[in-house]
Amino acid sequence: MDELQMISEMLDEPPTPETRAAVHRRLLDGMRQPERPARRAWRRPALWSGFGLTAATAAAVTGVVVVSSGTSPRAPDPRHGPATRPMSSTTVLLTAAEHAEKAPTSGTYWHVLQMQSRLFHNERKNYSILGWQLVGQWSRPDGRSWTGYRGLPPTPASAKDEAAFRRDGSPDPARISPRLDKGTGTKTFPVCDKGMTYRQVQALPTNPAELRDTLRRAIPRDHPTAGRTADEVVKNCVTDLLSSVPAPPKVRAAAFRMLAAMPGVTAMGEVADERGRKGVGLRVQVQRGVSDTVIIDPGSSLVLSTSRAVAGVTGKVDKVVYLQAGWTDAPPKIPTLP
Amino acid sequence: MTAPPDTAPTDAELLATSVRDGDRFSTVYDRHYADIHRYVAGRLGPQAAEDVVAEVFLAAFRGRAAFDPARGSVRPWLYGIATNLIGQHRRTETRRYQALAQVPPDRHPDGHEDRVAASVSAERLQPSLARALAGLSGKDRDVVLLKALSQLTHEEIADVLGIPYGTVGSRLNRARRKLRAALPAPTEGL
Repeated sequence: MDELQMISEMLDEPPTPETRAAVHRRLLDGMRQPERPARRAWRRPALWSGFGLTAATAAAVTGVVVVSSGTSPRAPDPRHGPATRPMSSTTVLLTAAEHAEKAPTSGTYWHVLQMQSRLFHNERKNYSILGWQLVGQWSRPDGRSWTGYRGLPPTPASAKDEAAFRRDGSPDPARISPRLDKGTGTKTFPVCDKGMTYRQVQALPTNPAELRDTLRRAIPRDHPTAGRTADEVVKNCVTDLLSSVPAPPKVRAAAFRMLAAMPGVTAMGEVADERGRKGVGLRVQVQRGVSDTVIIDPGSSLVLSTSRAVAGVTGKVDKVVYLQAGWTDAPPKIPTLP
Repeated sequence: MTAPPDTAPTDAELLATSVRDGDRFSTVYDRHYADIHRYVAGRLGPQAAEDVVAEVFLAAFRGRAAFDPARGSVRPWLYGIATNLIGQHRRTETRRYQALAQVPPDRHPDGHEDRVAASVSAERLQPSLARALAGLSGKDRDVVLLKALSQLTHEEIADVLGIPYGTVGSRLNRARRKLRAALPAPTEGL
């Protein structure tokens, strides 16, 4: 027996179920601390978990902007298609800002309908697919909220995965039953990882520079990205503000203008989202090795979809398609694909 | 229907998505808890290990956004965090080896001599080995224990400690020489 083996035997302290559970409990306690209080409530990926299989929820990587009038949230208007000439990222964002500013804000519920994807990889047969769920959120200014889910058929992650996926019988790795949950507690919205109530969101500044300062201050001290510059963190989270958060039109406009003034945002020209809707792609360098693609319809100021690419990971890790966002009078229900 | 068991995201994917969805991090914990426990508890003892292992995963959770998959995989990254934290408990570690150095050599009843021969001989050597381990420099001990307790490859150890590959080999050789020198010469039948 060599000395390394002897050391290994002498020092062996196998884990017990008790220590495992104790450590896990402490980890969960620690994880629950300030970090991202709002996100948990917002995403509630309960339906995605517990499958043994795991993958990536797309959290609300980004969002929609918009706006609806009357009783139903407005979908992007095809007549307001993006201009044919290539637009700079600044132009895209400033155009979106103008349209965001004019958005109507009447209705009983702030409603966001999105398709969230998670990437699954089948190692044995070596192909990747996206599992999809439709998530509808309804929030009232008084803090009450509802979330509805419906599973959607999986799709191959890329064209090259298609054949293997079909051969395998197009399996769904994480089937989801339709359901509608009522939120417990006062609904908060993720604003730079701080959970803000409806009222706090309404009080956000409408001046881009002031908004930026407020967002910087909103970043929790122990934010996982705290080591990065405040601007990077703000850039990372401003898309949340543009999407899932019922910020007043002037605040959203300010958020677009703020983003327009930040480095690391580049225009990709006209691109189509998962549903074939055309918009202008923006690439937002979130940090080294991580970039988000945000597709915006500058005409409606709606963010159509977002996805994230991470160095060393094949394919997009998070992909979210925003179908509707805005104020509505229609009550919460299990969502259906429009 | 549940997912096919062979379909799973890589550690790096999990970590990347856990930036947005903290709950995903639990899977990282599930996968690596046992290994990290053995490493930490081997060095600090089971009592201190509970605190430190929780700290390792919490530090990983808080730093998960800064994890850069281009610079290595998740496993060595976790061992790196663990090694740093262990470094803050040097006295606990030394006390553990000193305690092991005092274990009386012959604990096994005579009747089982044949069957337990191998482990008895290992146990006889234990005090010297533990003393030698306590006497190693911190740097050498890191390399030895990443190898002995966790069976990391030279490459992984280089990743964990942020040192060149060649340095891993030279530190390991030097340390093993010292450890062997501290052991009594092999006797017959050993």
